Amino acid sequence: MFAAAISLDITPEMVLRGQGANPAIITNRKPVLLENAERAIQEGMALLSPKIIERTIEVIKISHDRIYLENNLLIENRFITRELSSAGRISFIICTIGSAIEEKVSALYRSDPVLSLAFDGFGTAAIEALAAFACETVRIRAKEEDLCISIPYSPGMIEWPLEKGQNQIFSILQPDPLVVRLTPSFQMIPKKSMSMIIGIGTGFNHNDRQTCDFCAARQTCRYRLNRD
Amino acid sequence: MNEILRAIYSSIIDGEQKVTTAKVQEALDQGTEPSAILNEGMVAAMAEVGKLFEEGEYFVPEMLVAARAMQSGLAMLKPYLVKADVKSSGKVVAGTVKGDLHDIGKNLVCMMLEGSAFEVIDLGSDVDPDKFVEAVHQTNADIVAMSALLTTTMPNMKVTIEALKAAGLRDKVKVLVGGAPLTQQYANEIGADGYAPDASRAVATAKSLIAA
Repeated sequence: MFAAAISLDITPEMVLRGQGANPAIITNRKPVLLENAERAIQEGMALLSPKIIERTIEVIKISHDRIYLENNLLIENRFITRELSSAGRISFIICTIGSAIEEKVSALYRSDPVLSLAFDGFGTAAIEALAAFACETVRIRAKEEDLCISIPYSPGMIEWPLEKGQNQIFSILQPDPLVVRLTPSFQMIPKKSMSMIIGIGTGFNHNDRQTCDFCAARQTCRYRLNRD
Repeated sequence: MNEILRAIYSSIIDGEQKVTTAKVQEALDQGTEPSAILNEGMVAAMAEVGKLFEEGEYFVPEMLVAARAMQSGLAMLKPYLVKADVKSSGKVVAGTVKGDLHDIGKNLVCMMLEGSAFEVIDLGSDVDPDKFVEAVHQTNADIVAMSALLTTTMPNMKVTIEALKAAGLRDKVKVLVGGAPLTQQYANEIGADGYAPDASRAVATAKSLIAA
């Protein structure tokens, strides 16, 4: 787990996007939402408890639907196997920002739902920034060996069922349940958490795929529209 | 629409909470019918906000800002509506299904329904099927609105519908479902009466279910 020295740079634009809004449009049209985003950052930063749990494992063998890993570990999914077919190693990652932000969101909802949503947007921006930090850390390590990395893949993507993917990642990383845990329906607690795997090797080309391409909500997601 | 109702309408669309409450008070002071303030000023404004959202013009936080303005005005108007015996658009029991802790989408649906003069009983998230049944039984609700954000929890919508059947309530209540992984096809398969892909269309669907 690397928790030290994680510094997240969250901007009001990121918080507005985290609420599903286009910052360029909404900043002029509803200045109060920009003020709320700034307030969420100001008060929210102290509530973050960012943690990244990561483990990189050597690939032993790859079949058409299975990746055999060292220590008798296994990923069994045709989509993931296809996507990571050129990986020599796989990095398993769980990130969380802790539960204080979601507690703040719940506490504010009845009295000020607009500010509550701003804090939720801040939480979304923070977990996304933390995940990006984790990916970048893996990328830098890979680059030192002249290797590159795949895009991150998360359970719940169109061809990787949530229940199977979460079980695989959690069984490999075995995080402290006080830091992050799974509900019986495979939702992570704290809610602002992300799980993912990244292939490390040669031949990964980021130009031909993006994480959003594999999201079940890719056709309708406003968050994606406002990020593009 | 007269000038004061137009001012209320505009203030809600612009999300100006203080202006809304001031204008509602002004309208009441002028002797405007509470039902006209509600329907021509406020509900019409929220309908327009929903339309703007569906068109991709308005964003989620703007809908919330508008709903907040609407709720402030509505709180002021409520005693007058009760006195004038103005009925709500319908009664909705809402919640995120068992096992699902996501509530932002459901909260938004609740606010938009309230903005369209529905009476909403919000059961929260991770709601057991029996709790839905109990709430329908106790409140005599017209609609059960269920939300799920996970493929692993959406089967609990069907479980809830079965629980309503077992309790003999299914014929007395319409079932409206929504959430990111859902489709119209899935809603049909589980025997829901309506499906909405977002908060705005949840309101339109709820209205059509009441009218049916």
